[in-house]
Amino acid sequence: MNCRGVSRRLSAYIDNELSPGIKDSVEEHFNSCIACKKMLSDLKAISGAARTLPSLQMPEGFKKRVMDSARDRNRKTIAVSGLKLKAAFSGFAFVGAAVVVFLLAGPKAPTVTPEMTTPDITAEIGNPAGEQSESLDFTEDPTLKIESFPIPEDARAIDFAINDSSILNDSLKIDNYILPVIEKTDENINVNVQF
Amino acid sequence: MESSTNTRNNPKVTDKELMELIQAGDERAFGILVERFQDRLLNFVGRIVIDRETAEELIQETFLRVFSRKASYTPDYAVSTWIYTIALNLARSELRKRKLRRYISLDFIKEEIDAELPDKIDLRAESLSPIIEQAIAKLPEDYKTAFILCDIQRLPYQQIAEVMRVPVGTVKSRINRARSMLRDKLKPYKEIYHELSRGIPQTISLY
Repeated sequence: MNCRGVSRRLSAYIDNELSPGIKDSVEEHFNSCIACKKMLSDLKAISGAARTLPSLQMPEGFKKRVMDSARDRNRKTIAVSGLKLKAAFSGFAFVGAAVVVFLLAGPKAPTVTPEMTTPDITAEIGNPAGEQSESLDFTEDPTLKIESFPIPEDARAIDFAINDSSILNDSLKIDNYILPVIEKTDENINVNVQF
Repeated sequence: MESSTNTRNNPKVTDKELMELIQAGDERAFGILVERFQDRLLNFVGRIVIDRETAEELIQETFLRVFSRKASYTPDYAVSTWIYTIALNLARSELRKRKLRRYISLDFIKEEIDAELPDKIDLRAESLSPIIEQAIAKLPEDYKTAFILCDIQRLPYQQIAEVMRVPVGTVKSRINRARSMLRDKLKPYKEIYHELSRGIPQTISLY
């Protein structure tokens, strides 16, 4: 082993941190190299001098200070945990209460009653054949949308007519169409469909 | 019951056994652990941050973290490694903060460190300690940490590697480099530190 290799390993040699084989090589080098041996002596002395440095000591009350702080922090942690638990419990309780209230007093599921159905147009305008007409029940059948409402052939597109007050006043709007006003006569009746 | 001092000095009560007691909620065991490590940590952290007041605060925080995170300790590694690692992380964090705000805690310490080492070599061996402290304080942080853990804390290389989270080879290199740098810095005092290394009693305080 050359001087460079030995000088890199001097401290590990001093601290007995070299493997036996490398340690032997280093010692063998010392037999023929005074410079490395001197350096070894200096580094040993530096290490030894550092070990004689005066030891610093904590003041008397340090342990008590740490213990008090630990207790204090522990208390705060418990208090915060308690608050979190309380908050979580309150949250759950609130949600639970809200669910109960909703179930008891909230809007009931829509049920179909004859009163809620759209008036039977054909019945109102008369059904000479006396057959039971099909009512437009928008609540029961969600697929039944306004698009399915029979649009008269003479209905006009509302796209550009929306600002026409006369149209709005005089006509019935259903989606994008303006239905013509049906004059009340003996045979028919104005139809007002409300949603 | 055994007094805490006796418990501290009783090799039968190992650090790991103390940690087990602390994990079981034994407050007294925590007090013993504090007694056992407080001076060692002061001699370590105090030389890293070079400010006693800050060092005491960091060590207090180290123990508080040990207490609050006691459940996370596993006996796979030494208690001292765990505690030194926490302390070193806090000290490094403090140094980073100082760099950020370009702050040195006490001016007189800064002046002392920045001052050139005296040329005179007619010092008595007892008077060399502050000069050695000054030379150590001037080492680059990683070299200084490895040197203190080795030559002042007397930890084995493997444990130093675990504390610093570097390979053992890196520790070997850093310790060797630190000692070589100190040798260069203390060249005018060669005979004195050789004398000192032979064990002259010290009375000088670092601060």
